[in-house]
Amino acid sequence: MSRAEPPRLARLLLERALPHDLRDDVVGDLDEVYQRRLRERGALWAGVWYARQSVAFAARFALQRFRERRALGLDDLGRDLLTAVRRMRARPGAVVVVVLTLALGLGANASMFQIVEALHLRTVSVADPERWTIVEIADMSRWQGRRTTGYPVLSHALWESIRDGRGPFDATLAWASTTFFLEDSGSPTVVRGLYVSGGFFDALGVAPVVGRTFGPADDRRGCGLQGVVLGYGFWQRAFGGDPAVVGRRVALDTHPVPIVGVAAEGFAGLEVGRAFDVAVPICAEEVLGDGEQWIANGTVFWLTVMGRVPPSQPLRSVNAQLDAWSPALLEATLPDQYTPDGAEAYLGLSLRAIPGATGVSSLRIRYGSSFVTLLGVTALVLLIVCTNLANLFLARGAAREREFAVRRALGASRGRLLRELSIESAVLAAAGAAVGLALASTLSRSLLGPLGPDLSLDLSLGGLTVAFVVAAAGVSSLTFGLLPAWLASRGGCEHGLGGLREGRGAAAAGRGADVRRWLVVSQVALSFVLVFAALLFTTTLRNLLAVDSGYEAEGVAVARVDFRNLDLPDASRTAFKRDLLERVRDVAGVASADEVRHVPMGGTGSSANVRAGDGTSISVRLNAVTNAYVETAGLPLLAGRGFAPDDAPEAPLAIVTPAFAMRVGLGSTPVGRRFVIETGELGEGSSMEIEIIGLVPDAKYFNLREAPVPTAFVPKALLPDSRPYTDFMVRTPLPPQVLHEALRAAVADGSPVVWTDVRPFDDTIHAGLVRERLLSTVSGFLGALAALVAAIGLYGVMSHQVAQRKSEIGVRIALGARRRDILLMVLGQAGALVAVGVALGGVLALVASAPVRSLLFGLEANMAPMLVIAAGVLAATGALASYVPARRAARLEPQTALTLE
Amino acid sequence: MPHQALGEFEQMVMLAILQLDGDVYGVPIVEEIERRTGRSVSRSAVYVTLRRLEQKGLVSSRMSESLPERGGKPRRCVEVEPEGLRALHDSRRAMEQMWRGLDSAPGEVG
Repeated sequence: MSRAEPPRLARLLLERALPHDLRDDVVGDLDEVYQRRLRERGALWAGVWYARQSVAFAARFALQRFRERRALGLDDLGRDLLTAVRRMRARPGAVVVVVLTLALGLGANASMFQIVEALHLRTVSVADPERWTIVEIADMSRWQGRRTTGYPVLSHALWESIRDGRGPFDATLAWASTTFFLEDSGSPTVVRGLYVSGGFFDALGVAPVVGRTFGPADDRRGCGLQGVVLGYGFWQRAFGGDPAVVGRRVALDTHPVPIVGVAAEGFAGLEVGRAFDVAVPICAEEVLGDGEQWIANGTVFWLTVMGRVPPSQPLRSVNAQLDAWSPALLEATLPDQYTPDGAEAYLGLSLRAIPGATGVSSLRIRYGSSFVTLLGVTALVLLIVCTNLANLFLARGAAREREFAVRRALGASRGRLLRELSIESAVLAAAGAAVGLALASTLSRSLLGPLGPDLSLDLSLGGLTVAFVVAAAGVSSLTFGLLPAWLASRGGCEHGLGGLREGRGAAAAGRGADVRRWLVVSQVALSFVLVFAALLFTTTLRNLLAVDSGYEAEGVAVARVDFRNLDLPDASRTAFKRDLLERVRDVAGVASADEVRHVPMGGTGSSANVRAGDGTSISVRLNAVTNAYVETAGLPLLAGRGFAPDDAPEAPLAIVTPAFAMRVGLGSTPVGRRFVIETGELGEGSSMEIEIIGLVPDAKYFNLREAPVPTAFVPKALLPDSRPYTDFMVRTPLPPQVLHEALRAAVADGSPVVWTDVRPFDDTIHAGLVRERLLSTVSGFLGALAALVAAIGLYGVMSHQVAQRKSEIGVRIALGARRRDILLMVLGQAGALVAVGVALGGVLALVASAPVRSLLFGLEANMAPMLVIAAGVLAATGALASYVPARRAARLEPQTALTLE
Repeated sequence: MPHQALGEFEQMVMLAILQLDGDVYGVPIVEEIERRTGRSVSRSAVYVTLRRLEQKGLVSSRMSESLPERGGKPRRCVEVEPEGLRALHDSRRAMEQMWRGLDSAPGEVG
């Protein structure tokens, strides 16, 4: 009888799918049934049946195989994990050291990354953050006016035009940060306030938790003060999350106002690092502002304007539309205070949109680059830690080489050994990562501590940070685990067992030792970069601390007196301040006191334009002071006189600096000469002719880094100032605390309604150095740590080498080599490693220092001395680390060394 | 040592082996179960079960001669081991213990 074959493809599948031991009989059984079906039902039916059966068998056995393999794999993994943990328990000390080293490296990276993430990467918690853009002026260098903050701001007039014209945006909003005094029950407290446009909360998709937020109707000129919305955090803190606060009346800067609602949890405003406590509509500035009429004054830029881009509209086309719109916008909003020069500069501005998903942040502007730099530094530290651990694992791998050779001879695959060793390093890395993550938030907080008590950066452990640390731990475990594991498991039988026969690990002295030497070289190189960085930052700080501010700050205090709670009418504020100054001067122990428009280096300033001798317009800094400024600030008069009590309050007089005289072209004897000053801050009429009566030395205006800026001091009354607060500089031997008490008693009979704050002038001068202190402290600590770790690595390698070469050294000594020669030989070998490392490190350091140049001071010209010092530090560390093994080698008794053979 | 618990399908396969005479292999086992229970049985499940029972030592197998009508393939002939018989009886007893006292329980059909 001729036999019909079943479908070939199905048959093939079946044969493939079945396990070896079942193949013949199952195929036979199915064939048997197939033949029967063929006879009974025909070829088609039988064929379909056979195909279905083969698919069913293939699926079932594939599933079976998968289950078996998984069970086997898990078992294996479990066993390897257990072995790894057992091995670790045998050496608890070593494990603790390794885990702590890793935790330090990973923790430092985690905390830096956490800060960088919170500052730069995290989007603000609003609906569609990616669609929001910030509208800014592309180039403000020629613009005249006042801006209230370092991040992008526009005038109220510009905001209104953008809001009403819409332009390329489908929604717009504006806001500004400020502070208020809030009085609920008891004395007023300072709260972080926000002026917001009417549609602010709705546009951002921020719903009220209780009550309501503002609508467009709430924000219109002349609205007065109709209501206040609380931030969620403040509501919890100050009102215990009581929903009944809606409708309750509080006082903002003495103005009674009802609470209308509370914003959603998690929304802290759009400024990263500064959460808002209370929000009021922008129009309330007319009531709450400092009487400076920011809403009406187009030369004050104070509102951050943001626009939402329609979905899938590229930023480039938005900017093209803004560019086309700019001239009309500026034309329509040109402030009438401007002189022709000022107006020309204003009309020459252009608007552009920049991504706004991560909000704005003055913290980011000031410290952002520092933290990114420090993240680079901590990454290097982690690399050094890994190199060091790789060295450690290599040494241990070399010690276990014979064990591995025996196991391979007995049939263990290389993959098997690799896996076992990698699991050990992975477990260590995981433990290090866990401890590091636990440390991260504490580390970040202590790093951010010096930046200010008010900081509200969200330092919760984000998914991104955890992912970063897991990735870093993974890479670390590969770096310090895989290379040594690869080398340790490479030996076949001939390799390690040969060593077994020879009695001592001759095999270990091979490639492994070379790799270890290169690891030490790279460690030295990386440490060099860190030591160099630490030197750069500490020298920068030292240079800045050594900079002469120009003031005699010793014994000078800065006092702020804030009397907005007295609710004085604008007109009587100047007289009140004059009275305050007299009271301050009358305090026992006060040698001299002066009221100043801007505390030098206090962060605020005024500018004006002066027509130079050659007709060009020079931008100068301006300060308004009273008649005791020269002696209070400790600026010796170089020529002429200071302001006198009998000068008329608004007399057009000025004291200038040499930089001013030079830039304006007045020569070295400017006293008695006149110049014309132009600025919007003069109030009535924006230009004035002024006579120079005195010359004082150049002193810093904003910060210690700046070159001498042309500065003019004019009488306090010349610049109208209706702010309900003012600053005094006080020269006194009294300690700040005592002065504070005396001031409080003097200015308002101790009443809490007038708020006072006193701090040493020195603090103001050096407050700007927080960034430099941060960089120098952290990089200094990490640089020292890196040098120490490199020293440990070098010590390990040299000790190992000396132990390896005991017999050779013994022979040398027996043959008459002097001990000094041996000492020098070992030191020389260590020196060679250090020298190669330093050379490599020098190149790396120069490359790596390019992007941080803007953070340095006083080092621009020449970094060579720093390179030499860093080299010296590492050479000394290296010598110290290798001296002990070298001495051990030199003291070897040839007898003992040779009997070891 | 307590015997390994048997699943329902395992019991059916072993009982089918015991019911059959002569060469007992996959094809008749499947047919016997289908004939007695009246439902169709997954062939691959029977083979996997047989393999598992053999691994547990409850069933043993031997290969027959090569047979030309099967394309020269042998049959795997199986028989139940004494250990398997004990396990079957244990399973039956356990079930009977559980059923005791419920013989006239309401709801039983046939």
